[in-house]
This record gives sequence, C-alpha cells and structure tokens, in this order.
Amino acid sequence: MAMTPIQRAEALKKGSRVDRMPCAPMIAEYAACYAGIDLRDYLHSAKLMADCHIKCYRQFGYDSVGISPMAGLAEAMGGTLAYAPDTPPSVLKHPLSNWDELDKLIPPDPLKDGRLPLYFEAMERIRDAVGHEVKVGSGMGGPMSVASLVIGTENLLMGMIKKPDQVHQLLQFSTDIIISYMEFCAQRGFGCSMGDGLLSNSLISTRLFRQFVRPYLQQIADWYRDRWGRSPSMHICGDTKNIWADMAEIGFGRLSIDDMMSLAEAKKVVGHVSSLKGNVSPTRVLLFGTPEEVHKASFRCLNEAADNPKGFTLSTGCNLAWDTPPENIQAMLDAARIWYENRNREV
Amino acid sequence: MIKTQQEMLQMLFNAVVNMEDETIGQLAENYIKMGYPAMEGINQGLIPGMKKAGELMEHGVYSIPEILICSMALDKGLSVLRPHLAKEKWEKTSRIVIGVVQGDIHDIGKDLIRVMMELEGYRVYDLGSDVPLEQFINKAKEVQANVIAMSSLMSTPMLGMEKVINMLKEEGLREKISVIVGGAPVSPEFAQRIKADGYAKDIAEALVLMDRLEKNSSPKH
Repeated sequence: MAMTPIQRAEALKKGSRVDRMPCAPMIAEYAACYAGIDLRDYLHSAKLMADCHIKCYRQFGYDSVGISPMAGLAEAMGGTLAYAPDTPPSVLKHPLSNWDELDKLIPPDPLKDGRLPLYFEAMERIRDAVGHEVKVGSGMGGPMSVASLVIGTENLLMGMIKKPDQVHQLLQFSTDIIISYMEFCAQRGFGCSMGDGLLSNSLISTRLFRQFVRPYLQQIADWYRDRWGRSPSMHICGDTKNIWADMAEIGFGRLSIDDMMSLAEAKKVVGHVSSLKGNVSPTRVLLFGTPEEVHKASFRCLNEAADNPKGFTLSTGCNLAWDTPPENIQAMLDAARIWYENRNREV
Repeated sequence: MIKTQQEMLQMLFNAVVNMEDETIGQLAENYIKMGYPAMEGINQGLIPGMKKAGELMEHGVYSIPEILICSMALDKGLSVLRPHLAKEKWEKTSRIVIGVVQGDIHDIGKDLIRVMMELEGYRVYDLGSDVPLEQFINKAKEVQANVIAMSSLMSTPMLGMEKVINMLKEEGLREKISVIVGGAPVSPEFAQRIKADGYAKDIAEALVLMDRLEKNSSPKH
C-alpha cells in the first residue's frame, strides 16, 4: 500500500516496513516546467509557485517539497536579476560592486523586500494543500552562495586573498541573513535546508574552506540544532570530498552530494554520523537519458548507499534541468520502490 | 647594483607565482628600462610563472582565488611588456571566438582559458558572459574565426551550445568552424551528442585540444 511521505518517514524512524526507499529529486524551478508555466510568471506569483509545486508533487509523490529564494536575495538587497522563461534568474547587478560599500549594506526583510514575501506565501499555500502528506520547507543558500550574490563570485574569491577582513565581514553578514531567514521559516513551522555551490575543491582549497567558511557553517549548524533540536542538512555541489569530514564535524547530520562524487566513498567517510542523499546526474541521466538509464543509475546509488548507517534518500546530484522528461522522474521513484521490494524479497 | 637579466626574470616569475599584482607593473617597467628584451620577459618570466601557479593548483596548494590573483599579476605584467615587442606576434593561425553561453554569468574559467590561449599565440575574441547565441556566429563571421569555444557552468544554458552548432549548419559554416565546449555540467558524452568538435575539462586539456585543431586546420574563409 502506498504511504504518504510523512507516514513513510515515521515508519522508517521506527524501523518498520515501508513501501519504498525515500526519494526526493531536487525539483526547484523544474516545477514550473512540469506545469507548463513561464519561469518569469512563476517567480512573480506566490499562487503560481504554489500551484506548480502542488501539481508536480501530486504527480510524483516524492518525499519533500521545498522552494528557495536563491538569487531573489540579491534582488531584495538592491541588486537586479536577468529573468528568462526557462532558466533560473542570474544576477545582472550585485547589491555591492566593490568592498568599499560593505558598511552600507542592509540585510533584507524577508516579509517586505523584493520577491521574498512570495516565498512565504507560496510555502503556506503548498502546506495548506498537501502539508498533511508531505513536509514543506524552504531551501537557502549557504554563506558563500549568499556572499557571492552580494558582491559577485570573482570579487568574493579574490577578496579571500586581497581583503580577508572584508570577506569575513561579508560572510558574517551573510550568515546573519541566513539565520534570520531560517528563523522566519521556523516561526511559521517550515524547516530549512541549505545548499552551496561554492564549496567545491575546484574553487576553494581545504585551507581556504577552513579559514573562511567553516566558522560560519558552524554558527548556522549550532543555531539550527538549538532551534530545531536536530542537525541541519546541506547540499554541497561539485568536488567536495575534501570537506566531508569537516561537514560532519560541524554537525551536518544530512549531506546531499553532487553526482560527480561517490556515495560509496561518502558512506565510508561520514556514514556513521550523517545520512546521505543523492546523486543521479540531473543532466547526463535525467535530462538526456532514458527511463531504463534512470532506473540503472538509481539502482547504482541505492546499492552503494541504501545501507548507510544514518540513512539514505535517493535524489539527484543537483537541481533538475528544464525539459527533463517526466517519465524519467517517474522512473526514479519507481526505482526506489522496486529496489526496496527486491531487497525485502531476498531477505 | 644592477640586476642581471636572469635575476630579473626570476623576479617576474616570482611576482606571478606569489600574487604580487600590485608591484609587478613597476617590476616589468624596470626590466624594460634595464634594456632586457620584452619577449624573454614574457616567455621566460611571466608565462613560466603562470604555469607554476597552475601546477600549484593541480597539487592542491592553490585554488581559484590564488589563480585569479596570479592571472591579474600576469595581465599587469603583460600589459607593460607587450607594447615593447617588436611587433604583435601571433604565432598560431587559429582565431578563436570564446564566450559563456546565454543564461550563465560564470566567466572565471573562461577568462583563464582566454589568457592562456593568448599566451600560446592564438588570436582570441572574448565575448564575455551571458552571450546571446547568434553573437557567437556573428563574431565568428566578422573576424573569420575557425574556432568557437563555449562554456557554461549551468545545465540549462549548456543546451544553447547545440543551438549554436545548428545555427552554424544553417549558415553553411559548420565545415569551416570547429566548436569546442567545456564547463562543469558539460561532459564528453554531451559534447559528442551535440556533435561538437571537442571537449576539454580544464585549461590544460583546452590547450591540447586547440593544438590538435591548429594542426588539422587553418582559417578556411
């Protein structure tokens, strides 16, 4: 019998039988594509955002629903975005163009500035419709992502060498924004999951990560644990093997990793303290592949990590791409069920 | 005491490796004032410095922030030494139009590849980031390029690369212009799928790839 995501999570916690492995592809703006809505309209209407996610969830029944303001934070601090019908917005003009203006920066008010209020309204709408079945929450950038929205990635990265004090000041500012946004979510009963695309070892070395990023992730993780009584979760893009152990030490009890990384290796390094999530390729497999290829890739992930001591959720290695065939998403959820049934037959 | 050319070359090398972007300009000027040849300053000082920085990155000592400052130092050194070259010397025949495809503004990797391609002696026309697809075609026609190099760090903009290849076909230019692609979500399989002429995962591979194209072709306009 099919269970709702909430029933499934509760049963798993108790160690009882479920209907399938948990599965939560990173839907993000793909919900608009699925519903046939222009992304520019979606991003400017809480009702459309909610309708798209409700429609998409009802079709597939995956295990969590979340929306994230992403670049909307830059807009809410005075930046401008470039919108496109089928691509998440990118920042045209950052709130800061150079480090001299750092002191003038004002944190955004999530209930007033830019499109941020839309996300709260949309989350409420989604929860009203499907919250009895599935956890609804928010996504949020990590400190590096938010800082790069403020001043641009290149400025931020060069600043680590040329302006270390200002970079620390900006990362603290970003951390305060993140915690305050998460607090707004918490007051309304929404959990928050972080994602950061700028922690990859191909961008910053382990040394720079420990010097500039780790202290701020620690603040956020500590806050989250105090506020929710459980450890926070984070998606880290790119080549991140070098920081897995750090992430676990900081207290991220749930890690979602890029499809370029090995779940089997992650299990060895952090499986005793962190649940894992991942990591079918959203482009190579889900966008361009066939349902059979999705099935195979999903089975590979499950074979590698389903026995992770702290748990495993089948997912994508990054956000779904626009134009991903719905039958491929269905193939992933089917794989989560078939794999689980096969295993129980063997036992 | 006047420094020997060898000492000055070593200092230029060190200035790039050690990210001394604020003092390298003065150093390069002194090198010229001492009467040493600009070409050797570039080929035996600045470029080996940048290559060393690349090695440090491969070994995990440096990462992108350091490399960005090294390439700033390199650029500043080059801007002083280049005007003193006998004449602009483009050793290679390939002309490359490079850019980050529309929808994506990540251009750090592209900038580094451009600098390294220029140093190798290619003529490079940089369109920047978030480049409208037709602009790749228009620029390639304008400068009679034989290579279009595109990158993207995002999966949706990446799909524009195939559109550029189709536009080249429509214009009857596909045989004349090679297309090479790169960027995090781009894979060799994707490059093959869209029938690009080559894929490179990093700067070193991009240079090897260009070397192959250079040997196989020259501008055919």
